[in-house]
Amino acid sequence: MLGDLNAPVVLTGAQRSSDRGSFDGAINLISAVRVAAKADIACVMICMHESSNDDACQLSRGTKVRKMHTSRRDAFRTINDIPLARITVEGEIEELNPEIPRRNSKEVMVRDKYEDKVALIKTYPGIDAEIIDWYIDRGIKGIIFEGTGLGHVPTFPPEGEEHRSLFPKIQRAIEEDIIVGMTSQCLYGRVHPFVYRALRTNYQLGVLYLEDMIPETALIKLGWTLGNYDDLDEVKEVMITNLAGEISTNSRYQEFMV
Amino acid sequence: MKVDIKAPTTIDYEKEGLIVGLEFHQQIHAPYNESAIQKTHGSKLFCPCPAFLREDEPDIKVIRNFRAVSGETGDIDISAAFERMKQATTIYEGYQDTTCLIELDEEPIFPINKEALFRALAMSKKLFGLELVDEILINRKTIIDGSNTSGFQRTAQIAYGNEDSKIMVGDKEIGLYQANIEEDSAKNVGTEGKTRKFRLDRLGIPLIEIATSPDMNTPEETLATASRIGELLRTTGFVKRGQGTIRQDLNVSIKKGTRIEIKGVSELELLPTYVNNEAIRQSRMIELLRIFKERGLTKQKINQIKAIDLTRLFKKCKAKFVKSALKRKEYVIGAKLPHLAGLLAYELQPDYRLGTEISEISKVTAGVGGILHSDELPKFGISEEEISSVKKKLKTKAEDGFFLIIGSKILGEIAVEGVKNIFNMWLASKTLIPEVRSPKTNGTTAYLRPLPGQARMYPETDARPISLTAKMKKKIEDIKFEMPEERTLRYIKEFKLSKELADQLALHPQNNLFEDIVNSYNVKATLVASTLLSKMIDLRRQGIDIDRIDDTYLHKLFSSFEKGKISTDAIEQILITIAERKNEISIEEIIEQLGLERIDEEVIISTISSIVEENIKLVKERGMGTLGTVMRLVMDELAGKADGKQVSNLVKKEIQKRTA
Repeated sequence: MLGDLNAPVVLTGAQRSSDRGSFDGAINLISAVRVAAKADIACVMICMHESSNDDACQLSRGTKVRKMHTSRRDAFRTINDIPLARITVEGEIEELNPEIPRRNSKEVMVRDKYEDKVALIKTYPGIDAEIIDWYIDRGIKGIIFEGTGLGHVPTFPPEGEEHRSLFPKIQRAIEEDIIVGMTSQCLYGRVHPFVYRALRTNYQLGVLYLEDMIPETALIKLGWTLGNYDDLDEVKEVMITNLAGEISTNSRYQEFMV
Repeated sequence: MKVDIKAPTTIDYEKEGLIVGLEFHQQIHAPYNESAIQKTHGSKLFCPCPAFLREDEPDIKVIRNFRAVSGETGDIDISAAFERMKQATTIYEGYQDTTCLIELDEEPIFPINKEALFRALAMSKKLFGLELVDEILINRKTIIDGSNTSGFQRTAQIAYGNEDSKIMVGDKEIGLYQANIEEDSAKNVGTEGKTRKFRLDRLGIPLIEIATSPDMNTPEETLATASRIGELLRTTGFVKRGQGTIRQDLNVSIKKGTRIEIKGVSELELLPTYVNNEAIRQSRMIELLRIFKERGLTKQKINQIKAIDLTRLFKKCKAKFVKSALKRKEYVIGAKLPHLAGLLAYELQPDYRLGTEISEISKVTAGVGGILHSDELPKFGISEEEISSVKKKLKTKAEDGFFLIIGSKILGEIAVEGVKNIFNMWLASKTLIPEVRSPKTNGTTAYLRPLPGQARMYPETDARPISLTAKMKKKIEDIKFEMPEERTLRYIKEFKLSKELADQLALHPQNNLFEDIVNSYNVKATLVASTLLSKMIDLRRQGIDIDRIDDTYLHKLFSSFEKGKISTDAIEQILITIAERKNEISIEEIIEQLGLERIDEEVIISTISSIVEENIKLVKERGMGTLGTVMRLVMDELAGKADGKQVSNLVKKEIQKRTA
């Protein structure tokens, strides 16, 4: 984690191999270098193709970007945010996001401790609840759930199927001081702790509803937070506080499917 | 020394030592799986998209820039080509419903189209006696002219020649050298400046490539060989038919010349012209190089050529095209051509001058529209005064020529550099340089690019090598292709066709369809044969696009005929309507809307009876002499809904009855 970032940090890559005339990586790399050199954006970003065309790259905030296609040039998409900017092959940078962190004269602070006893669990109807016991027994420190919809996990199964409920397992985790965070496998949108009874029940247990954070970001953030903070209440507080654009204050209309 | 500007129209092939080899490319019809659209059109080689060539408006458009790629550029001229490509933009157009991410270079390939592979293998072995390879390795062949979205063409050698690999053409043996299976390229649908536009419907259609040994020594032999290879391929029913499904590359050389590849000839009839003209061009080029030397043209003098901005000299030019170019803020760029006065009109081929060659080089290197040169000026509204001011500015002497390019400044400069490069290559090699030329519709060929080396092939890493399984080998062993001659005999015997009709049909690409139809419906073989042969030719001559009439429609047509819904006289009308309104209308609707429904015999009889009644006096007087008149009246009344022969018989009967 780079705290007080004062300049652009641009990550780039390619979706087509470099032996081909159609190699997309060159434009990505040239654009990334241009952004690093001259853009007034102090943020960790990904610079990859904006569309299938070789005419522009898109700059997405590192905490709000996800690979959404296995092979297309424009696989990397901004989720729950607007791309920070775009850069044309000619090198024109056009800012798109109203909340761009600017270059500054602060001293960058690197905090690179990381707790790797964290897990990301995707839930689904019929999931074996004992998976959570297995993790707890292995000494896990934190779990991020990728729930359904607004943040559901199987909680109130029909009679006779009680063993399918994750509720007692989550309860055990929290009692053993394991951080439990909730995100959504919908990827787009925000989880919510109050709309339905199951959500409320888990919230009351102490599950952290992680707003519009994407699951992978939440996982990395949890590992980082556990690595850098000892006090559990502090960890919980940091998890629901925006540090690097990973949690948006509100959900804007134009953020969906961009 | 006096220079003969005119090129001869023919040449002594034997004396000049003409050698020709052919690479015959034919699209394979092979469905990737069982869907109807794939069965109709066949599929692509590495994805299930239908091999469906379209004319409607595309609804996908992507813009790509190709880049120089390292490791493949063994040759300085190829790298020069790469340098040019860096600045080129390519637009690809596709269709949401028949183009997928593979054609768009957005997804790794699917496994090879097994049916296409089988068909290519079977044809290579059974038609041409080629030896199949044990393991097929798919390669990437670097091609950076934009005709592939990936920057390479996938190609795999499937068979090689041995002493038994040959075909008889007339009484001459022509050896076969190799067979490949490969992807067809995207179709170029226009170039504007440095932007090239391609359609993706053709990209990836499987091609079988049959390469002959250089065993042909005359233009006529070349044509005969190409025709025979085409006949053999078509007789299998494994290949696509119609315009644009066949393309040939010609390798032509004369003793003193070199191997020149003429790429992508699709008009079979023009093959001999290209061969003849290329033999002439090589001999004329050798003569031209001698003249260059005699006149003292050297590399140094070429290297001193500079692109000069002459725009200012044309401010008051009366020529319309110059005026409008200057209005568009374009430039007139000129360059001196030392020692070339009078030589720009030197014909390399009949109707193809050195000036034309320079114009073509400018086109391929910079995408400029064309040039003007000193041997054709003053003309086109450019005045004597303008010419002399150009000469002054370019500092040309009496023995020098010059050329002008109208367009953007940078493209003009690139074009001049391109022309200098080629002249330098000519002067350096002192003989002809192997190159690729593009066939033009008038039978001449234009400069395209240097002949690339073999370094541009490397393995396709997204596919595994394919071993020929015992099962596949057995399937190939078991298939028996009927040679055209055998087919003729069978048609005569089985379908009672005349020798002439059978001969034509045996070589016809739709002969399998013919058999399918005759075997599926109770219709006369001669009717089906004449519909597929003479009727179709007739319609094509009338300007009807008969390629639009696909097999399914023909099946439905003859099925309707069998059920007695239509008469023979309605067939032509229905075919025309299919060609014109295909996709919007079914056969049933055509029959209904055009009122072509065949009518019952009773109705015909009653129509005849009433017409005879109306003319009873005449009929009684003249008897059978009125047959023609009555017939005409009846046919007018029935308008295509009845069969002429049937009506004629019934009219005869009626007249006999009335006059008895």
